[in-house]
Amino acid sequence: MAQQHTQNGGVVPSAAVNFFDKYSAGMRVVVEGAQADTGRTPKEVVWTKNKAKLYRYQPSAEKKYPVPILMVYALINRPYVLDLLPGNSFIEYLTDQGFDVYLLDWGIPGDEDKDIDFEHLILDYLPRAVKKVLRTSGADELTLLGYCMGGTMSTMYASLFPEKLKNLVLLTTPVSFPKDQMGTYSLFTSKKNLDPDILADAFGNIPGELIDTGNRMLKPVTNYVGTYVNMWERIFEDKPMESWLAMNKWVNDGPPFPGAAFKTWIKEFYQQDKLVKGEIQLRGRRVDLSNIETPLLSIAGRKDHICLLPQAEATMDLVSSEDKEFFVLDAGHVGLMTGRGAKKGLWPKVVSWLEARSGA
Amino acid sequence: MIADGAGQVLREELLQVSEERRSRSTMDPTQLWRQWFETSTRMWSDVFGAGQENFLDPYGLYRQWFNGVEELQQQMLGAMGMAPALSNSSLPALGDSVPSNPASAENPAASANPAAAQNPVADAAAGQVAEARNLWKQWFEATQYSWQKAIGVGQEAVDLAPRWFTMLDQIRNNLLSAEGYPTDPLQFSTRWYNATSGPLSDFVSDLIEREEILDVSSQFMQNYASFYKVFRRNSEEYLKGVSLPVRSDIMRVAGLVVALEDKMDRLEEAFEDFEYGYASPATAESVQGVDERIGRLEDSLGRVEGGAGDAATADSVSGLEKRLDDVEGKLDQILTALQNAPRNGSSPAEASPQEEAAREDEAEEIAATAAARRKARELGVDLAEVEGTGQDGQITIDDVRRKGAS
Repeated sequence: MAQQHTQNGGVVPSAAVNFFDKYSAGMRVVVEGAQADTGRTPKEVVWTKNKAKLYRYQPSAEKKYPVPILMVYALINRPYVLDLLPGNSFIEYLTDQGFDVYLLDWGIPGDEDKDIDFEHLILDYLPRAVKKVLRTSGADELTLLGYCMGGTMSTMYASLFPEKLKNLVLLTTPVSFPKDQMGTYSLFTSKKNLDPDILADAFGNIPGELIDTGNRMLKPVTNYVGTYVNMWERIFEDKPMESWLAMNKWVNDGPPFPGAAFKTWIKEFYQQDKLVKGEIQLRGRRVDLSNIETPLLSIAGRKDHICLLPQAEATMDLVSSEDKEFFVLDAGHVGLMTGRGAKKGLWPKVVSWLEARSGA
Repeated sequence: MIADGAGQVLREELLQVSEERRSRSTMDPTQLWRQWFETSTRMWSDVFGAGQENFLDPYGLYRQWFNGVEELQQQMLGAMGMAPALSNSSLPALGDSVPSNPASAENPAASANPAAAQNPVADAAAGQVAEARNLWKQWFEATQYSWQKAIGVGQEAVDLAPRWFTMLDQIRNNLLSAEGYPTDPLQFSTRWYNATSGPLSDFVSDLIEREEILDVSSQFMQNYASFYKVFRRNSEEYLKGVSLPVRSDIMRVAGLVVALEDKMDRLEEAFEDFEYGYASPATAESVQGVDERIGRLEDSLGRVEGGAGDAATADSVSGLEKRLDDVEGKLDQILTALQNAPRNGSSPAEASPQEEAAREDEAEEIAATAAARRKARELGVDLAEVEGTGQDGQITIDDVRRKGAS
């Protein structure tokens, strides 16, 4: 039996040493949080505004398609899930296929940003970012690709500024918020149980942990325990840890949500379901989704408990696009974007749909 | 006697390790998981009297797991040339209603060993065990309290009982459907999780959707938010009393920097439009005008930079705020000049719908720079009463300040 000598002359079986090494490795993750080198695809910053940054990925790579893609991320969680690790990165996949990819990262809001609302993001930030993308790439039109709430924002933008839009791609994007079809989420966000005014008034920006807790409580056992059971299993069975660490880092890295936008998001979207009714107003301009005529691809996950299928599917009936497709994958909210399933499901689907519509 | 003394040292050290570890906010979640499960099981058993305890014996596998760990520890400690330091009594007691670990009968020699007191590995391992017991107790108390609070042991618990027993039934079936017993702790944990997570998940989902739970959580969140607000306000007032800049001061200045940056961005945009678009040729005067303004802006920025170098006091923050205000005012002037320039040279057809909308908005309102509007809001000045001295009678930040001071 393999053994290891100790300082005082005793001998410890190597199996035990191995066990404690692995145990301490796991405990380090539990106590200190997961560390991983995420977002490694080469990129340059094209434009910044306040905390927001516009990135262009692999700028020197050959561009096969003239129509650039602008990705718009949500205000919840950080966008590096789109570029998690080499070989497990949607952005890397797209740039390798010859697409000119840009990402609008909203950044981490400071206390001074508590009054930022959707009108700022959609009327001030997004049009500037679009202009920058078009100028940097020398294109006349672009594809707007929104993920989750970023998709909801992209949809609103598309209805107000359809001019330069070639395609609209929405991933797990809630547009409708029907109380009877949203399960636990509708209870969590109901008027009775959640008063966003009190929270925004107290915190300014809503802490990321608070938002995260709400999302995790939708599946408390899986999120709080299952994740770590999975970790111990990986550690003790010597399975690769890099993806687990990267995902765990991402899950625990939620930025604060600007207070004003949080109030609007909960009240006007979740509680009053105004977007489908055409009642959302941004600085007096009505958001009417029937203005959208661009080709549309909307992808949703059957196991998604954050954006449920009917929430995403509602878009299809509201837009005027003739070229539109609703595509459902057998995946959850995040599993849809990363990992083995994504490489065979979402990524090739987006590419095959865009190939024919990106001017090559 | 010597052994007793050493035993005392060991106990004290255990206590220290335990205290030290408890201060951390987290622990092995799989352990928490088991504790949660057991605590809940026990609470429900209590509700229905001791007779229900035998409904499911979740401790069987638990004991087996501890035996596995104990064997490993003993193997290790034995190999290091000492008797096992971990007595069975130091393993977590599973509560009075639970039979003690059967291994204890077979292992009477397992008492505190003097050698172990000097051994950090044994200390740490024993510390963990002691810590687990402490945490388990705390967890039990906290969980029981919150559950009682949330649903009230009584009618509500009875309502939930059939649901709870269905869950236990599912768990038992899941556990029994596995072939053979797990042989190592990891396998045990994984199997335990796989058997319990599904049914418990469903049960927890049902539970958190109940009015009683949602009410309590929502109330808790609101109380916490109110407490946070009061605490923040009090600290700010206290710190202001000793002339220290507080979060809201920094926030105000940061807000100004953001507004400034926004202006720079719009300037950049205006220049870009100039460069790429429909620019009318710049005249020597207009270039010189812009040049002078940028010169003044640079001076102001220099002063702002100088101000920021000093140690931050409440006064210096206010000074910085004033300077940023000035810079913003100047930027405003440049922006207005630039926006007016290309507009004169372009036909309306070339303007974007966004710009048109913005212009329509402006036409209906009083002509004032953005900085002037913000200042007016801050000082409570009605713009209709201010006389504009800027271009085409536009109200500037200085006009608002004068009005505010009068």
